[in-house]
Amino acid sequence: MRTGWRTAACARLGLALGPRRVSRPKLARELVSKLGLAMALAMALGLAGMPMLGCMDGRSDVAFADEPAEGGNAVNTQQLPDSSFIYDTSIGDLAQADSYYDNQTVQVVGEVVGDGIRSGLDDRHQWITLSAEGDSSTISAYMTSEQVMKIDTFGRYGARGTMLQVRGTFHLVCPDHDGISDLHAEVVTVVSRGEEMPDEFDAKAFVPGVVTVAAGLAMLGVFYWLRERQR
Amino acid sequence: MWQRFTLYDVRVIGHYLGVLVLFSSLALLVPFVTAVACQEWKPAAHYLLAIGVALIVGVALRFLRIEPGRLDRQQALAVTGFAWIVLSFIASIPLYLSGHYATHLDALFDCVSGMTTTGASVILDLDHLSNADNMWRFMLHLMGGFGLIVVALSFGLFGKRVGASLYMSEGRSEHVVPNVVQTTQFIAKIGMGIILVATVILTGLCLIIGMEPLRAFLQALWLSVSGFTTGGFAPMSQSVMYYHSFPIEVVLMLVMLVGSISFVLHAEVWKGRVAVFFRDLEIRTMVLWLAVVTCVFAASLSASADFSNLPAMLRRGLFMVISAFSTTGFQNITTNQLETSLTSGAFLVLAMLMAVGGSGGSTSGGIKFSRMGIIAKSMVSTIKEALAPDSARVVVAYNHVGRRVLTPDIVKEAMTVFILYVVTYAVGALVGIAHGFEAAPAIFESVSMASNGGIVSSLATPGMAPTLEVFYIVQMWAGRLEFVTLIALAVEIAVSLNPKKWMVRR
Repeated sequence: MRTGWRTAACARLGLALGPRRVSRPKLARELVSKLGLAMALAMALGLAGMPMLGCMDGRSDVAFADEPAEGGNAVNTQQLPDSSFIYDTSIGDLAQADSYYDNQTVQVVGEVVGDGIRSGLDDRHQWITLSAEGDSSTISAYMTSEQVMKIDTFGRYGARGTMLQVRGTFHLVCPDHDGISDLHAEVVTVVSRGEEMPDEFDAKAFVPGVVTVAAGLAMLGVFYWLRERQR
Repeated sequence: MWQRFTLYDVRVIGHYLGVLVLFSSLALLVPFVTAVACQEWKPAAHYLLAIGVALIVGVALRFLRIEPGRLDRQQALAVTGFAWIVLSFIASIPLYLSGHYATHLDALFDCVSGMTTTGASVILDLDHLSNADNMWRFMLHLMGGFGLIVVALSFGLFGKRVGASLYMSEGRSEHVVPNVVQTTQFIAKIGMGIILVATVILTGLCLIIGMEPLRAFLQALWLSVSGFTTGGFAPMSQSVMYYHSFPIEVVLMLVMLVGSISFVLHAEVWKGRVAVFFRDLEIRTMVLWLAVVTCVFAASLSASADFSNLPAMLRRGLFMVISAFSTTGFQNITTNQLETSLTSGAFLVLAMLMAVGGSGGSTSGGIKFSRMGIIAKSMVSTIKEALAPDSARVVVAYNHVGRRVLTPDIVKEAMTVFILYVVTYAVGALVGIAHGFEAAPAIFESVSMASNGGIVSSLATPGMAPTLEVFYIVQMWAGRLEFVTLIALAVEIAVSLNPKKWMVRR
């Protein structure tokens, strides 16, 4: 009984007790140092959270983060290894899914491509197309307009779209949307921001084209000259 | 005795092919201008190069015979047959350079699919394709949908003397007006008018769903072209499903329906002869066929757990039926749903719809309602003859722009083409099966290619087996030319390749 309270306290504070015997003064010193560390951490977190109060107007990326990232960073780098839900799957898997995946919670990562398509007449929800990296498979994700606001770039020619991690319910044939195959987003997190990559004008790239067109036009001129001579 | 090509024929054919290739250099200006306007400099360089190559190849072919003279029927068949594949090779240059194709054969597959208005695509990462490359894909639909020869004739490329034989060789025999060039111009005017109206409506709808103005306009234009020419390419990888808009689907269904009706009947309605439209054999066959097949399709869907509710059945089912019968190939369900969620019966019905296709003289592919109607009338005739007294002479008539009497020649032509289609569907299915695929998707894909339907299951994918890909290219090509032109061409080439037979005919 005398060691019971000590075991419980040590377990809470993360101390390895094991079979070794620890003297009471030493244990007391360890407890004091751990409590001090915990209080310091709590204060630091409190201070870090204070600026959040100023972001309640709904415009901040952090305010929309369903799972708050560290500091003011909307890119949550800790999301990828998370596996605390049913399926960590790929868009390619969902594009070839059978009934096994139907109505299951899944999580996919993909690039946002195309446009945000308004769903219905109200602006509460939008359709987003997520494209898998490395293959051509895509999936429609149904999400709130607040979640869509996290997207800074839609992928298209000359633009790499925002990489999103979307957790939600997959429907092979969605009963709410007339039988479409979709993903109803619940948690949307930005993995990496998009990027505009417009073509830069390079005169050298046009040289083969200019040469062939000039040669073709010269040949055409010769052809018409020969034809006129034959007539 | 088989006809064969002489050296003179080859030179004349080469000259006229050169005319068409030169015309393709003009068509390539459209994506080039698009690229420059959208500041897409890499595609602009690719299209400039393709224009140059088309100019060089075109003029080189024309040098084969500087003064070619008039085309005869045999040469016209060859020009038409080769035009589709030669132009596809030229067209594949900029698309392959775009970096969106695994192999050059994939780019060629897409070009043949675009030209023949099949609509099957093996492109990679379509959602990042440039506006210029997309414009070119839909230009292929536009040229192929109206018919390369029709487009060329309407521009007067072949002059006034060589029109009729070329026009007939592209699977068309009906004239809206007596003059072939005027007929082709009329076809072009009707088509462009419908595409313009559809583009305006679809642009508005795309703006409503939240697309940017330029993207809304371009995608509306491309969808209208693809819908009316019953092509099937879409600017986004999710096809029509991408827009999540029932009004857009309704407009596209109407455009596809209009595109699947003969241009001759369009002209009759244009002239105010609406009764001719409703009495027509093709229209009556279409209504009967669609009524029966839609009921079967609905019954089959009812048996599935997923699509048995009414909204899903109406929205997804009706769209897919119209897309399949018009041989367009737009999809508002995923390929995965096609294979896993539809019942096998519904899957087969879609294949049958593509196999039969739309009206003759329209942009649709497949066997065509006119032939199905004539075969049905032939059966009626046979039964009447069996029941009639020996002294009676049985006459069976039908309406197709006026009253016509069913003759053995008409029935023979319809039966020949019908059998050729069915044999090609079967052979294509066997080729798919030989490549290790399941029977049902192999049949579906074969029908889709030969009928220029374009709804695909899982066989036509990027980097597929080259043998299968080449076979599908031939199927699309043969189906678009309704076999006779291509078979005649193949026989003539085979006969002509015998060196003993080479002689100057003229």
